[in-house]
Amino acid sequence: MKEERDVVVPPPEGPWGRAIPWIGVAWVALHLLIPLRYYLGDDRYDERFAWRMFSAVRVQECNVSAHETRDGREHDVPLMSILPAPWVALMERNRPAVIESFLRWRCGTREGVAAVRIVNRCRDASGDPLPDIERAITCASGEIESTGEVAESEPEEEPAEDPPAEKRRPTKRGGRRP
Amino acid sequence: VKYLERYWLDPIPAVRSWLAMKTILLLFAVDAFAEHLGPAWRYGTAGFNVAHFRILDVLLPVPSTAFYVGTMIAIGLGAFVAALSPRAPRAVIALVAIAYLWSWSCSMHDSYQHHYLLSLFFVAFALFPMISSRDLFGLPREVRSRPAAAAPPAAKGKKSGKKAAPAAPAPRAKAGNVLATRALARAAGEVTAGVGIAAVAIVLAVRRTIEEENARSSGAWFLAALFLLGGMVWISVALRRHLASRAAHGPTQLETALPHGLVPRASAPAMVALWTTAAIVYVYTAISKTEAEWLNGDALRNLTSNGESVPGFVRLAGAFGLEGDDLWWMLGHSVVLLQIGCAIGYATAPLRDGAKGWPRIVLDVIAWIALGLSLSFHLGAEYMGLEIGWFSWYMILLALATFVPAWLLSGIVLLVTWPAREIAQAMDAKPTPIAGAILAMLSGIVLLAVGMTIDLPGAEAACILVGFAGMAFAVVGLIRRDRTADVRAAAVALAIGAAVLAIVVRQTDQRYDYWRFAGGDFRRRGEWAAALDAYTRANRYAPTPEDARTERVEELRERVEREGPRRDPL
Repeated sequence: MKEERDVVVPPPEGPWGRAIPWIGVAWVALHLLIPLRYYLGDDRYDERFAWRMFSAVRVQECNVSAHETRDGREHDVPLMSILPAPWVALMERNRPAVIESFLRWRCGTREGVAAVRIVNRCRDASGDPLPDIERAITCASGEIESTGEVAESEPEEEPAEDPPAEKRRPTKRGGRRP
Repeated sequence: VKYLERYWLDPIPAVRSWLAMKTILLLFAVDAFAEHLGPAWRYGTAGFNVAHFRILDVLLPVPSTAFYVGTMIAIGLGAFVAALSPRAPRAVIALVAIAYLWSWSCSMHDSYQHHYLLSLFFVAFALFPMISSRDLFGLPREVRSRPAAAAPPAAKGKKSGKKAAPAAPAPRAKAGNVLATRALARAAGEVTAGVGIAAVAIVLAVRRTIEEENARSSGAWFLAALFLLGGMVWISVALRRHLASRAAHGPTQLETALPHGLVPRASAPAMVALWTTAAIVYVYTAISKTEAEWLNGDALRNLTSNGESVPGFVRLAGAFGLEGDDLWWMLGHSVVLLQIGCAIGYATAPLRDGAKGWPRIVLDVIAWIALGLSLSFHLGAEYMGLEIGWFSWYMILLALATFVPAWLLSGIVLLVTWPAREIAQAMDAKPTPIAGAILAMLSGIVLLAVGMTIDLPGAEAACILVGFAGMAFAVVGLIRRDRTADVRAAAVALAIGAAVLAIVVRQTDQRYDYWRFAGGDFRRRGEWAAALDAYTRANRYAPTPEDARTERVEELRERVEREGPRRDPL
């Protein structure tokens, strides 16, 4: 190869020189494939690793509520009083892994609970209501069921003890998280 | 295969990878202190956690707030060492990459996608060619002592028919090279001034339009156009003179004087990987914006509270007749085109600097368009006040390092690093391992002092550990004299990092946010004693007396006396 004075690091030769372009192709292919997991999957709320910042899904406004069955009766669960607010925000974003972990955690840490369910009520970017989303666990079996819609007369979640300012950090111009 | 090899292996201007790595690492170092410590209270609290990858939940314990704070401080200090060391230590970058990967993936609290992107950047940085500014441009004495460029014989008329400039008599080496450096500084300064004038003109016109009704007819835009034209003419003249000088004299004086010319090149497949990653990110972002809610503008309306968070922009658009649904429809569609433009810019970036003839012109045009689109998009996101941390600034730095002409970037780096290379030259004359060890010890003491005053769990331990790591490295410097300069650089970088950490923690609301949010969380969950302690500390760091939660402290004190340290679990 002709030596060029302006080249401080010449291209690698030998096996590395032959392998690197193909490693590069594999890198590109991998990063093209990872986001496809979202587009080919069936969970439209788990947008991680799909480069969907501020997507139409993200700008949905949701309200989450939790309910558990104890002593044969269903009780509301004051989420903000048992979980740090950021986890509640993630449940409002319908993150399945967080919701399922919470359901199992509640069954495992609270005695006498037979079943727990989470209901999420969302509105799309234009403010129109979307079908409710429900995930429920039967503590004895550990089975989790998901449904897209639930009955309309569900009780509302108890209000948080703290003002909203403590729940989410205010921004200068009322900005949003991605 | 040949084209594939050229795409990945052909040398690119070395300043592009050098600048991208140094500036992004430096920004990240400050970001780690300024943005990540405040929200650290969330980690492990209530004993509940969900990692991004299920395997982390299985293999690792629930992350604790102290471990998270300590890790972020160590990562920030490591990033300082990598950014400020003349030749970034690959092992330190790799450690920063691994620790940062853990820091966001250990919990879904950090769901910003830019954490993932930054991790990919750090992986690429760890594989970058580790070049110092000295490798690129040599030491000042080498530049001064090299023979001056030999002027070519009187050139014949060029294609344009213009008479070529007469060959200048070769000046004495030192004077010639210094003059050439000044000429470069002047060219870089003129281009920067041209860009500055154009930018100021646009900003003034925009401000006037926003402030006044019907500002378009007030002449502000005429003046803006005039200044914009003036800026462009200035840039054109400076560039033309620079190119004419190259054409007339063959390699310019400075290119001959510098060991690798004005634009040293390096084969950097990892930089190409970084560019392709950025292109993929923009492509998928464009795809996500083709959904109906984005195209019809509903999503943007929602994000900006129907324009309330960007009143100036709405008024500016109104001055040009864009209002209501039309404005949001246009913005929704333009975002998609903008992302595609950026993607094309990054995808073609590896080809640009090696191209010649018309492909070069096309690629240059693409690069300029991509630079404009990228800057407007990310500055726009900042203007909208979106909560995306410092993501916009990372992407702006990458865009500048990628799309600005290589000769201009090289010139800026050559001039900016001149003092550092002068210092390196002076230190080279006296390699003193003992001095390096003393510097490492001093930086360790500074770190310890800073760690003790931060008042965040895990901070002191992290500072002590990093200080010890620096001193251990100094021992290596005592044994191996060829590492003396690296030890010295790392010690100085650690001391600077410690100072920045202390300043950032004092000048921002990180501690206040940490303790008040922790207090709020403990209080909601009925941990009265922990909440009392957190609010008491928060009050210590309240930015103003009005921000102090005095009533809450009183309330919690009463609750602790009445109900004990915590309430029964719900």
